[in-house]
Amino acid sequence: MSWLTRTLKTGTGRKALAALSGLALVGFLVIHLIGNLQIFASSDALNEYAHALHDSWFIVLGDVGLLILFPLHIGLVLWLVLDNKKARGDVGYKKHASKQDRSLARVLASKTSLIGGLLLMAFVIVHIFDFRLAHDDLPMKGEFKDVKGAIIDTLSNPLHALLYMVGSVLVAWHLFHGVQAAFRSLGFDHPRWTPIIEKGGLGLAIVLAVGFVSIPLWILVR
Amino acid sequence: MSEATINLTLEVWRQDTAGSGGKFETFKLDGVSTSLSFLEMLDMLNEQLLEEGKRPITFEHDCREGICGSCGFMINGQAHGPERGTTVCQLHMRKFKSGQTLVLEPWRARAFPVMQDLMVDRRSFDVIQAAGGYNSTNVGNAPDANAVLVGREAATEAFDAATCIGCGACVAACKNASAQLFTSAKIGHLAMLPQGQPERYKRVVRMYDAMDEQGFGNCSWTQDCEAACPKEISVKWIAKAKKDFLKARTIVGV
Ligand code: HEM
Ligand code: FES
Repeated sequence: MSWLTRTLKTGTGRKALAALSGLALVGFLVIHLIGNLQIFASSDALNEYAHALHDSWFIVLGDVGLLILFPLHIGLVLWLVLDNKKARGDVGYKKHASKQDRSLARVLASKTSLIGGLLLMAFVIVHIFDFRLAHDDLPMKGEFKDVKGAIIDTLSNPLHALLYMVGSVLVAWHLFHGVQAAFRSLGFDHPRWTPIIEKGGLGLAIVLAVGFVSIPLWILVR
Repeated sequence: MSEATINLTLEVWRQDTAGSGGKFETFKLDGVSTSLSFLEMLDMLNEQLLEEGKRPITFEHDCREGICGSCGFMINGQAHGPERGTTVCQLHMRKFKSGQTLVLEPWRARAFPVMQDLMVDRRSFDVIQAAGGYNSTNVGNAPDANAVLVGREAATEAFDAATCIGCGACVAACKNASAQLFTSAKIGHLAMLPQGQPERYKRVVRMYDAMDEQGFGNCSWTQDCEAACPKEISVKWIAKAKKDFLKARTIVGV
């Protein structure tokens, strides 16, 4: 067996790869937000950006990367989850309570990572159908495809806008736990930096939530 | 001065033998002195059961001073009960109120099969320990105290990890029944000391592999283990052991 298969046979190895794929997805999400926020520019900046993006190798990297990273991350964590469920044994607890004095939010964020992640997956699938797969058929506006118009069209439906706000909060909630967990799963621990990573993960989650929610919200109240 | 007493209702998991299945049985216990320890309260109940000709409740115990790691079960879903940094043998009845109902359950984990009532088989911990939690070279008598110099910080930290008594509360409290805290504490105290270095990477791989083979779950960083640990061992040891494990597999090549 190679070192790689031997590593991935263990829960700790799979968890480390889940953390790496998760962090790579975080990187994607940050770039995605920066791109999307151009919707607030008064001109058709977003359309031009989308055009440049789809004209470059970056879109191929993104498509292929996400097509690998998403199934990899989800597959690995579900595999871990199955092991975890089995580990409790046939008889579970009648009562199970925590003794933690950390904030309830931090504990909950960890305990809801499976259900939150699955809801997130459902949202991502809807999202890909809404925009990525619809891209090629968009009408032109001047020189470029009218991405901005399509987004405003889709999210003018209040229910659809609400779905996107919920999706944005879900991903932020997932990363509130996920960012610090990923560093720890990769074996990183430091008396000064670990608390900074915890706060940084919270900060990133807030930025992502506010940033992504702002788009459907703006479209609704415009 | 009359001693304070409380009345309790206890819902206790009763199981005759390993694999036989079991069910909860309810007991009323009146006049429990608040200065009893939790195990002494169970002794009191067991005296009554014996007088009634019933089988007493089985629970593990030895030192009754919080250092051996024999005792432990869930009290209302909390490993070793509501107080932090305490084993059930050092938990006292003054922590409870009269009229309270307490649900007592054994540790639940596939790797900790119930033997009887509140007692589980923790030999899976021995298997992990035997897989590498020692130095394999016999070097004769203990060396002079200061023959091998160890820094103050390293010594204190190593001691923090070495205070693990192997009670199993971390596994019981973890939503994944993971043994990462126990295993990483055993790996960590040796990794902090010069004597642990020659076998450092072989040790972590062997102990981690044994941990997986015994059927424990993975770490989700919920940190319930640290909160349940009677010795308050930090989850930082898990990250440290993971680092050694990943390094052993990817760089060192063990
Ligand atoms: C869309 C479907 C997704 C599902 C079903 C999912 C599921 C999960 C689950 C269950 C965990 C925790 C594993 C455990 O507790 O052992 C986890 C961790 C994590 N997820 Fe996701 N996730 C998804 C998407 C994402 C996305 C989009 C990102 C990043 C933008 C992400 C980043 C992370 C990170 C960084 C971790 C921490 C890894 C660790 O604990 O070491 N996930 N995910
Ligand atoms: S009986 Fe020894 S620690 Fe409780």
